[in-house]
Amino acid sequence: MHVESGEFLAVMGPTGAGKTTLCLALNGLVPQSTGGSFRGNVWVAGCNTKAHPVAELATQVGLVFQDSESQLFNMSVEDEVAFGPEGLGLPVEEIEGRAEWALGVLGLTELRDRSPAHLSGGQQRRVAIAAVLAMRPGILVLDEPTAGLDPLARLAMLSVIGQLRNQGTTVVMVTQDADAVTGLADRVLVLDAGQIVLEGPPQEVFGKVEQLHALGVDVPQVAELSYRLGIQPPCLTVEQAFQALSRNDWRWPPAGGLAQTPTDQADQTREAVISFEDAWYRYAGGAQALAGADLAISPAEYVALIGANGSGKTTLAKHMNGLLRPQQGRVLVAGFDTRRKSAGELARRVGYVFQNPDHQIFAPTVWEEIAFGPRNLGLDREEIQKRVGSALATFGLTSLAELPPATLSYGQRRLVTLAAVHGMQPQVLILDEPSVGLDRRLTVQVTEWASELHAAGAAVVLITHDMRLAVLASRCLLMQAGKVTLDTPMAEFLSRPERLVRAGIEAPPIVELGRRLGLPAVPPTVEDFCRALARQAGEVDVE
Amino acid sequence: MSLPPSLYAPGDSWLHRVDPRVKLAFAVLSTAAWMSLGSLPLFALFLVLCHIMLLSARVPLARLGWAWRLILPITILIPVLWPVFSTAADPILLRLGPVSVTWQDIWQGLAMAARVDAMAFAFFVWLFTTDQTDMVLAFVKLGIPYEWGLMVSIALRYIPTLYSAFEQVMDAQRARGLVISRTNPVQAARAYIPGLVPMLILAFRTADNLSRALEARAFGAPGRSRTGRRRLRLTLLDGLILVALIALFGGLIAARVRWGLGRGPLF
Repeated sequence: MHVESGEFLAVMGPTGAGKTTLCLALNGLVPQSTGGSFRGNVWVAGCNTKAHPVAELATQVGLVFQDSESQLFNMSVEDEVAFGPEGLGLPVEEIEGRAEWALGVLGLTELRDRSPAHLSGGQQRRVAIAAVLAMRPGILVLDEPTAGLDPLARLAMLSVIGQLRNQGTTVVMVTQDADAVTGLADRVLVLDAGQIVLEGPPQEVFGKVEQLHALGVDVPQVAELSYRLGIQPPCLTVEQAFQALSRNDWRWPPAGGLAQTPTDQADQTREAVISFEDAWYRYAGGAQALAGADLAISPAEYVALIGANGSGKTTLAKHMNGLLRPQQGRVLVAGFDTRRKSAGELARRVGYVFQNPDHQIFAPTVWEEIAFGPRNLGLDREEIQKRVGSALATFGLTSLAELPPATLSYGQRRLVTLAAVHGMQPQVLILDEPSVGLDRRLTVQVTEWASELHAAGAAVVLITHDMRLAVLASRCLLMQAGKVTLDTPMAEFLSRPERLVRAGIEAPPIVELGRRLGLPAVPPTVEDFCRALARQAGEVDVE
Repeated sequence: MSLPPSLYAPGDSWLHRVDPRVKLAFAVLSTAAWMSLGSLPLFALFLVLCHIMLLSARVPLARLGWAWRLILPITILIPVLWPVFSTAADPILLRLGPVSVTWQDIWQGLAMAARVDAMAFAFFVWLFTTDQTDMVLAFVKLGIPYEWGLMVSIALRYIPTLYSAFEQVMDAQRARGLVISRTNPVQAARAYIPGLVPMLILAFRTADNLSRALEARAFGAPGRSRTGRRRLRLTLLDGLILVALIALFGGLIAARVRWGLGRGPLF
């Protein structure tokens, strides 16, 4: 592959395709620091990465890692940004000038004296970019810069990246965020199993929806719609789609057909499985994270919990399995007051899927890892055998059962943690940002699993920023400043876009398109959009 | 118990402005003095002094509370266990099976606990009011290679990070039904294995990522010598404080050797 000077290249691909390895190869960390076998050559600004030490290549290639925690090791933002130039032995005035400039570009001047460890996820990512930028590299390599950011932080990040692009910086950006690529990239490269499988301008690459989906790669929502409706040429932006649809340039029925609309089976008449009664919680020396939360979740309900970062979503969720207990008010789980039960005991009822698989994987084999939960529940051997077997089969892990889970790929480790929850057969399933760091295929696998448990009678609580996931739920809870400020059916929530904005949540691009076309119900998903469009056009076989 | 994201409590007080080398001298000299003395009143006085210093530097009360919670177990354990290991021949106050307790044991135990607290706070004064960059500079000025200084300061930077990761790990395991026994210490210790294994793996991963991040920031670039953007300069005040510290703690040690000051727990 080649990257031109001043070009913006987006690199996409499923989890484990070799995207991060590609980033590390660009500044020589692969193979100099990682070892392994390496064949062929990488030339960066005329330097062979095998012949020049990483620390020297760092002045040409600024690599920003995905993990902020391990690349911010100074005590203040300013020290962090000056660290690189100091290592280059530049004069003090030059260092200060560069730090000042980099802080300004990333909008961090106000935060210069703060400790990077205290900043929000989005701010930390920006500090990491500034720290690399201060070395004035000609090439900027960004590994998943928007992953895990809330919608506002994501937009701020994209605007900064756009600015750098316009200043003529060469950028290589690895991402799963297809909607982020459309406005920025000159060229998209898709990797699978370490090989380039697709390459070209976004318009062209995102036209191959079927192929990308088969690979597990996401496409921009508008591109998916355009494919479904057979719009030619394929469009990428809301504007293009608006033009095409205004010309009535689409076909029916949509490619791939339409799935049945899921029916809501929540039984409001049964006693709530989780209820909060005026619950208050404050972290030691911290903010009031819950300020009088009141809500009830019925068995077999599917609830999305949304809200900006710091609004108390995770705190609320941790009250649902007794990891936290209210300091005032009370929380009942399956009829038990959480103050009288330990989290370990409540685990019988409530399964919690955490974001980071490495915060729990410890057993010597995958089998043992999955058996840990059922064992804690005190089940007999036969039952444990049965449950582990079924959990392994559900996630296609049977052939890996005897391997140490810590050595599996990131995607597989995530699946192991899901299987571990599956084996406990919870009545309530809590998913904390399940799509972060996962490709499309794995995200679909997680949500389908949740839907299956839901269909089998479990209540599901989905914490997410991603409205494309949130629409899976039938009920929407909006958290603001430690309170549930809105509790409505999902359809109703989506019909009021101004609420999305107030909640710091970005409506999917398709909502904007639906509004511009004057569709009666605002359609949150591609499927709903197709239905709404067809209904308006008077197609008969919509239902 | 939650940990602050870093030990350093940012500020611009007189104590923050004192040269880090002088604050290190305070910690080291006082520790040396407290090693040779055993006087409960002196330890108590020193602890009060440390608190006055930290509060005047506007170190938050919550941070002091955190420090006390950290040293609380050992502060309790020493006086409780002291009679078990002591062989004092004083009149016996109380008999608990084979253990006999005397007044001497009680005062001695309390003094030993206070000694540990005093030494801990001497270092807390340094840790809470000195930022990482200044620490590295201080080490370098004292002749330690820059890489070593950076290593120490990074270690300090990541202690709270790893601790909060440990809390997240324990949360995840409790959510999987792990119950930590309150009655059986052997079972309780075993229950920590699912917490410690992920921590070990995480620590190695973080270290690995950190070394790559350092390289990617031109750390150790060949043929370049590092610029120190910040410099340490001993002010007149720093010099005076240093002289006073040497006189005070040196004097205490001399007084102990010469006149036996602070030999026993009560004088």
